[in-house]
Amino acid sequence: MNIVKRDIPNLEVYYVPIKGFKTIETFFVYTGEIYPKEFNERNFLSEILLETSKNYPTTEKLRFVCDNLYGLTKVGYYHFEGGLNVTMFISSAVNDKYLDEFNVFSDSFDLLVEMIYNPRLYNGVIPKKVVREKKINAKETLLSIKQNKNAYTYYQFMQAYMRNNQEYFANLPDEENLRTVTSESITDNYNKMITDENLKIFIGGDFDFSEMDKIIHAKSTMIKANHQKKYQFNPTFKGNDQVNTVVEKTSSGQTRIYIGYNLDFPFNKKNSNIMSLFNEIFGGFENSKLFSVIREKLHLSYYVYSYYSKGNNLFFVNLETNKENVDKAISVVNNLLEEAKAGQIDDDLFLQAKMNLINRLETSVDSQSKMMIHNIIDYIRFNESFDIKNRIEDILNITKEELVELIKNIKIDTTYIYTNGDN
Amino acid sequence: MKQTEIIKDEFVYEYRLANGLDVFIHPKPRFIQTFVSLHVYFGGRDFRYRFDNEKYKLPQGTAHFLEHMLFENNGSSLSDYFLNNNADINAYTARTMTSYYFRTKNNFEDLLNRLLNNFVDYDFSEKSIKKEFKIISQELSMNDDSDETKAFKSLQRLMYKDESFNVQVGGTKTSIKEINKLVLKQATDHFYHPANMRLLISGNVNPQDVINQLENHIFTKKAWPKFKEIQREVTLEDKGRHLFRKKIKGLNTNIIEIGIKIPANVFNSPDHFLLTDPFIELAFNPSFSVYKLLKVRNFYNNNFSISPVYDDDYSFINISMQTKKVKLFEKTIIELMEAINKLKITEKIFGAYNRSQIGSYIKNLDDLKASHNLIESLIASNVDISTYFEKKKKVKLSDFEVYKDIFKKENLYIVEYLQES
Repeated sequence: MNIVKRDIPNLEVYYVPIKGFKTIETFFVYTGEIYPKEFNERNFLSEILLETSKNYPTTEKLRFVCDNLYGLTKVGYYHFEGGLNVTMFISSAVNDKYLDEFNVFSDSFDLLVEMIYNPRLYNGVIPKKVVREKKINAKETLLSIKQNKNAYTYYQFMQAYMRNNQEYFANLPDEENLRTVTSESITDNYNKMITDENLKIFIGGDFDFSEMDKIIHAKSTMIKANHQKKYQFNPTFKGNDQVNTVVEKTSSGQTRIYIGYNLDFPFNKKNSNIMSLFNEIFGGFENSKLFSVIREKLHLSYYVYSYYSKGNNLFFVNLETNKENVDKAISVVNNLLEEAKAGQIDDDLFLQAKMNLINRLETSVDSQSKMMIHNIIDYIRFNESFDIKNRIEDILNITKEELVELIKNIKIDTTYIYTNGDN
Repeated sequence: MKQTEIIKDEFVYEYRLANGLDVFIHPKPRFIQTFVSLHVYFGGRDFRYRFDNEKYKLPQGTAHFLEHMLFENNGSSLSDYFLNNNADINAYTARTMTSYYFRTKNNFEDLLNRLLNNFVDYDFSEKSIKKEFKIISQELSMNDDSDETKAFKSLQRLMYKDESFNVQVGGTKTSIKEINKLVLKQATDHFYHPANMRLLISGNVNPQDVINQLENHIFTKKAWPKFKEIQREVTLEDKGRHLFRKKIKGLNTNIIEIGIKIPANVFNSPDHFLLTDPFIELAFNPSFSVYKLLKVRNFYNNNFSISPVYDDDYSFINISMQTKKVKLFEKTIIELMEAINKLKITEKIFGAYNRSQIGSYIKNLDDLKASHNLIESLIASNVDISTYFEKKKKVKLSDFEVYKDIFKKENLYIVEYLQES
């Protein structure tokens, strides 16, 4: 599978030819700078645009036309990584080859363009009623998060972990800035997206390139795109020298622990591959250091894992235990990390972790969506297409020595404990 | 071997082995992985049952405990074996069954052999039992710690007085203390017979090769005792109440769980699986008054969900919601029931909906895991997979009439977990 860049005037379009799947997936991907006070605006926008349009001004009208297109699925997705805003509008349509009629894909593509570029406006702005509904919904989501202990503790931990990094990271919905969201602010954010941000269109599936070119040409005047501006993916994390410890007391229940780390090394492809491998070794699967010691040997917790976010170069550990085991669990996590830094990584575990990563890459060809996402993410991060063979080779070539050298730069930044305060 | 075309050029093969195991194979040659799931009809409800005309009991949570123990059967780790072959294996226990499943890219034959080796004979060490007791205790503590889960359990208790509907699948910290070698032996003797299991394989396999392999496995060749059906008695009656309210400390908003019982004559119909989900989707379609009613009052938020809940012996529609406006929601639910009763689905909307269903079916088959789950659900619901897709295309509006009748007050149950002011 080779990604192919197409020569379509004023547009940056890539085809991802994938044989054998019965659907065609289209991704409109915008990347641009982050506006720190406008996380909510963009988050709402990614939903609002796919709910109605000028020509389909109600949910029922849009739903009807999507149902008629054999259940066209559409998703808006917003996230931020590497100091960039990333907004995706994705549609998945059944390939005409598997239906008794034509133009299903073409009509689906037209509809996606209509939703993004011809939004329903009232007096030139996103309707107030729609914005009011979004804000009410966001407030109710926040209330639910606060009473769901797993969601709440993650939310609180990320607030603490990202305390110095709020210019490029926020929990969504962003409670602090919810009040200032208006029809005008969302419309302004929309205009920034379509005029300032870099647009790439990815289409994946089993189709004829020249036929696809024609479909896109037919719509190209409607698609506003700016790809003159180049935005640099550059994850940075500002930590403190002193560990930030947050203890929150509750009335009952299990104790949740998060430990967030400062990865004090530059982000690049090689380091991110090494860190992915270390994450697998440390807490990525059933034979990992954390799982085999904390759950299987010491029975301190039912679950324990580590998570590495390549996009933001973040790394944390999460577990749940009884109140009386808190100190012991934290101390074991710390000791295991120090052991790893001292090179105490079993050869079998090292090899097994590599095989796991490679297996995950190899099996991604079973999913069209995964292949698309791999390609899109690599374009955002490294401005190149995803190459499984090279990626596997990179992983195979990692030595234990270079892994140990890199992880010596992992420092504890935040410890968050949510625990039963009753005696 | 019975061959069924489930969509153009795609087949499911069915075969019953000499030991009674039902095998379903769904070849997907385009994919590089293979998914396998072995279901055992032994779940959280099986703490009292009849076997060979005798009454038996087991501690609550035995099926789940046994699921954990199977990973350390005969002194060797099932997980390690699969991990060493770069394959994922896992399991879960539900109310009616336990499922062991794996997926792999390589060594499928070897891994299938290893999985089945685990179900030939059983030997669990005291050390392993003690270890799993500690791990499961942690798991149970986690389950106790969610108000959403508790509210849903309260709903089940309100709707059904029979304990087998609302028991914790994993049992309690007290009940699992009673689990020992003898208990586990009783469970495997009574429930872990091939005729009480089902195997589904989806992926890059040749059906005849798989059957040949299975025919020659010790799991098939072993002289199994004659299988005796497990009998369970349940009552679908409620406790005589339809509303349960409880004030909870620390809530930021109110949690509401609603259940609408589907009567036995409807869920026992062969078309239950074919019609229930589509009816709910249609009734809540944005074109109709039900959706509009919820939308205009801002109840369609991220916490709102509606879905059917069903096993082989009961079924209900579950609506979950978190809101500050409890009184308005209570009123809305009554109006919603009336709106569904009066629902007029137009042919135009129904036609579009049917096309979306065809698209959804095709998309499901485009994904190995989704297609495995789809076939699994069809088999579990006793659906004739050979006619399912054709029947789905031919569903008529009048087929849904029976569903309107279930939206009556006598089928409605409400649980409210309220903020303590």
